[in-house]
Amino acid sequence: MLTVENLSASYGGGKDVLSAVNLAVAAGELVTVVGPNGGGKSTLLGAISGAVGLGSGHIFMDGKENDFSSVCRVFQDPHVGTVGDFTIFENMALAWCRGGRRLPIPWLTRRRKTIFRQHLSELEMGLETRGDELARSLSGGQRQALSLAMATARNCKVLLLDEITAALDPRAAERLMNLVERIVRQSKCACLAVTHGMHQAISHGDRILVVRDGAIATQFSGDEKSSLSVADLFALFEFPFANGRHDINVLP
Amino acid sequence: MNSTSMVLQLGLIYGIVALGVFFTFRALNFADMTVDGSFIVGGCVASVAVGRGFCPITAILFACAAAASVGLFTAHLHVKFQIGDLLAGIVVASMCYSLGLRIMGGAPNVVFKSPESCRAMLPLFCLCVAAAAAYILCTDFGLAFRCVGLNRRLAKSQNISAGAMIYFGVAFGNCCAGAAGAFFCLTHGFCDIGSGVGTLIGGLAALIIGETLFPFHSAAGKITACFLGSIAYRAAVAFALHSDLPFLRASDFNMITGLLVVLFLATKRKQCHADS
Repeated sequence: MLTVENLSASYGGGKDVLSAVNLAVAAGELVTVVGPNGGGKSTLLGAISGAVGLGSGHIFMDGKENDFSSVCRVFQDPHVGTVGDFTIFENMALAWCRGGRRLPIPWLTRRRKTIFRQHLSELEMGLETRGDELARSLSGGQRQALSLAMATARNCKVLLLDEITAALDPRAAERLMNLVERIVRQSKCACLAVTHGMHQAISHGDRILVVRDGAIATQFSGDEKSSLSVADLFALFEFPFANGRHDINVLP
Repeated sequence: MNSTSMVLQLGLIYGIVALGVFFTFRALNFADMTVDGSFIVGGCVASVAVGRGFCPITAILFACAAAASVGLFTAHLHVKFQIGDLLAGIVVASMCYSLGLRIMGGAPNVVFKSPESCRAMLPLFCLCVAAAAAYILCTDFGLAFRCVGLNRRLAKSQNISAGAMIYFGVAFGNCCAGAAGAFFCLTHGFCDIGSGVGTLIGGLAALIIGETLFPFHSAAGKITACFLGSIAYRAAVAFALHSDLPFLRASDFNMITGLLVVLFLATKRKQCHADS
């Protein structure tokens, strides 16, 4: 669903922040991305969403190159991902028109209300009964869940999550990540989730990517991923590589 | 004309300005200072058009088009040349002074016979423009427009063109100011190049008073509050100026205006603190 080939990116034409990145994420796959600050994680998401200019390389979303309209991003700050002065239904209607023309037709019809209620009910937070309430009346976790619902409302082939649990308490964070896994499986989108929560990265998702110094240093999946510990991941932030892959069992 | 009719007439005229200011300052979060200039451009165009035999409706449409063009120029300076909204508006408003003189053939004012139908057209025009504005805000386009003003970053991620919305909002806001200028000049039978001074403060005052006295939440309610606030503002100013208070004079108009705005702003802040 998402294929990145030889991607390099920089800010304002300066030094490359990402260098020759190759990546493939299948439909319905959740890949968590970890790494030290300044390693290029958010830049990777920015390049895939079209917010950061590509120096070189190609990005394909479901076979179409640079189809940024099918890429949806959920931000770290729930206040950025929703409009607090809009009602829940208004926020959903805003997201509903993404990728299409925003016509001077009434934003809320009976049909749309039914669709929005159904979509919100999948969050299992009771938001479908509070559609006419302002988004700013929601808690941080509820607001992030609403952001997630908005992102996956329509035409979402690639879902990018940028530290979406950073502003939440551990319980709300765990609940949100469970919700993310369920939504990714149901909607069959390709999902990249940047997180600083090592435990989250290990316990959720199908793969972990470690991004460091503008490149994908290493990745884990399956049993290898399940057997990782938080200390193992932290170690990867600092130790040098050997042959393009870090052997975590070798002393420095 | 008695003072009640004058209050209602001026209230409706500056209510149209307040509606335009609502679209730019509130909905779009764009501090558009062009209004003083587009008000007088609208007035000049309408006055000259009526003087040349055009009917009042056509004259007002010409005025709206001219003022909207002025607004588009301000928006263009901001979007294409990255000139700040405040500075772009001030520069264009200043240019409108020369533009107005050109339109009036170099004369600082023109006098003409006020068309009879203008006063009757005014409430109908207000109703139409308010209905159109309320409808726009309740559409997909209106949601995207409001999103640009409330959360620019989210708007970008939703593939909404902030530039396009700024062009629309500033053009619409100045179109309203131009229409108000046209009605002002046509109902009074004269147009003076200095008539636009203080338009923005009048529109802002009406907006703030309307939001404070009539805190409606719906789009239609907020737009209605613009007109009600404008009428309330004109009534308060008329009361202050025509009262028998010995220390007040006609030249105190600007001071009274400013004090009224401060009073309502302070009341609004207190309400917000009480609610939170």
